Amino acid sequence: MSQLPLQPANSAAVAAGPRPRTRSQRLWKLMRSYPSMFIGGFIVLVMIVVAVFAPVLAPHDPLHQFDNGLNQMGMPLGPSHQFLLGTDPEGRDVLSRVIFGARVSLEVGVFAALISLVIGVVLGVVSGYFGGWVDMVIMRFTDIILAFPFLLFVIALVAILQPSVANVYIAIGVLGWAQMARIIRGQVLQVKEFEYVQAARAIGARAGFIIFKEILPNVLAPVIVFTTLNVGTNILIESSLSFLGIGVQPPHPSWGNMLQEGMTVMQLAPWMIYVPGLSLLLAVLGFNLLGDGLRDWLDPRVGK
Amino acid sequence: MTLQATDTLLNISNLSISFKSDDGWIRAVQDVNLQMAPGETVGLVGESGCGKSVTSLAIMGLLPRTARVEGEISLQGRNLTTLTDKELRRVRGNDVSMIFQEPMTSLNPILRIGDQIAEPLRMHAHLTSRQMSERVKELLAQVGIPNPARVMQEYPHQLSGGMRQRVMIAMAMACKPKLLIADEPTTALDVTVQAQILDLLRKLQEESGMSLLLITHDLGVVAEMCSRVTVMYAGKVVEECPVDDLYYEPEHPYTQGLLGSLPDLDKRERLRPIPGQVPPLWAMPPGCRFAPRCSRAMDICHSTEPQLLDVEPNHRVSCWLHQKGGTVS
Repeated sequence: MSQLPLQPANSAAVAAGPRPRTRSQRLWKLMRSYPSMFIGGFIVLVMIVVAVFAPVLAPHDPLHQFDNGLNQMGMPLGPSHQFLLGTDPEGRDVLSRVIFGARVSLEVGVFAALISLVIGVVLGVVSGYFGGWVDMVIMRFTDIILAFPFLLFVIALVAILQPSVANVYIAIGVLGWAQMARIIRGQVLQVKEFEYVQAARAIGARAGFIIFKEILPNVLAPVIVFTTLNVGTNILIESSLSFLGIGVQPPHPSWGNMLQEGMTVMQLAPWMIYVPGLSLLLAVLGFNLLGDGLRDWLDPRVGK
Repeated sequence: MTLQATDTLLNISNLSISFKSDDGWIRAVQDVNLQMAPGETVGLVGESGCGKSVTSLAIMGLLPRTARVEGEISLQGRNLTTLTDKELRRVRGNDVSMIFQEPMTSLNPILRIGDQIAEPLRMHAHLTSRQMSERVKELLAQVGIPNPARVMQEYPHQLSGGMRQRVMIAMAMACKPKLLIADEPTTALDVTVQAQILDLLRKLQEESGMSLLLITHDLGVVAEMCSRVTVMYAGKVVEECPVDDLYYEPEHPYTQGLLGSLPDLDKRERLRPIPGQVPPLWAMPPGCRFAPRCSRAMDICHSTEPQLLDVEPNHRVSCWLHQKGGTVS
């Protein structure tokens, strides 16, 4: 996999003019051609840094209920020196909770996407490559999965598994592979007709070799794009589940349950809604921009 | 080893290939016979859809599972049609190799040239990685690629069509096959490059003593390369002869028609194309398959199929004009 040509035909030197010479010039050109990829990538990168270094970055313990975290009326405090984004009704620091919430979102988003990726790629490749009744069975199963209301399905599965972070991403991942399988199948159907696949057969290659060396690497671009977009979708689903009380359980912070807690005091402490809400917006926007940008970059037909 | 066994490398006898369709089995190739001696170059000629490619795929065992193959294809006395998948894989790329028409799509776009050429070696030969890269370099040099060490590191899109076809040939030659099937190897290339590739094939054949089955619709290529020619029409062999006979004494009206549709610089005549089209596989005429397009067709041509019979030693034709029972009407 070290030799992936993630430098498609239209990558750097798309626009007219002299070929950029140095590496930084080429990067600059790429950034100007595909700004959304870099903006999205930047947001995603920030989110990863925040999630990974949450214990270092968070000013306070996200679970600690400060004695001075509430006013005399027992109401949450607005932004101040000590609590930069205010406190919640339990007297906890909102900033620290949002930072730790990023961990949950990222963990669920990424792991669920990876589970969907593995299931979707395996089923999609098997379906597309072998065809016939295998294809028929897998695709009808996919149709059934897609016919269910996704969120309800996930809720049911989490309820069976007991709510926890791991179970949330398992549930989302195990149910979210259907579109991936369809995309991969379509790509495989196309790629397997190319002459180089026939040529591989002609030198005596076995099915496994053809799948892993000839077909899979050539369908990788849509896989990357779809998985990136999927992370954003999964983050949104996780916060919906936590909002509904079946995802991350209080007192542990997640953007979803923070929103839910903030609902009750929305008028008095609007920061409790804005902070996790905006974080969610930014995170999903980041992954979507990155995914769209990657598609433009990797697919020469869509690019400029 | 008997003389017989050394004389024939490839022996195709009574090969018929059918494909399953909604309306039952459709026969794409019928009763094809073809013999090749070691080191010989045989041309397989015909229009698109006449069954040449299907025949070559059958030799490789690369037909889809929906195809039904009858008859025998034997390589050095070994019947390929009865081999298991595993045994067939050992034959492919090792004893028999194939190069394809379209050099632009025959190479995997994301593998380096060196790795692609090494693939058949990895599958069939047990070499250390150093031996392997030496062999790959050697092969690239053999097919006339300048600076093999650099080209090994490149990707297919960095090479021109002619260079890619050379790489394909290097891949096919990697395990020193006894038979190389070239399916329209020059059709997609520039004329000047075509000549180079043909020269290369001839050179490699002389060096290695392999046989070459050249599938083409280009009679010029046949004249230059082959010693014998088999002409196919609509899934059947219509004429089989030494290459000189093909040009000087073509016997079958279809062969004559093919030659008549070639431009000739000496005679400033109009081209005489063959009228009509190849009949579709599911609506073959009952008699001679060429009869509906044949200017010399007789009554019997429309009702009874002619046999492939000798008209001279080594020259066989399937036409009523040359057989008893055919009377000029």
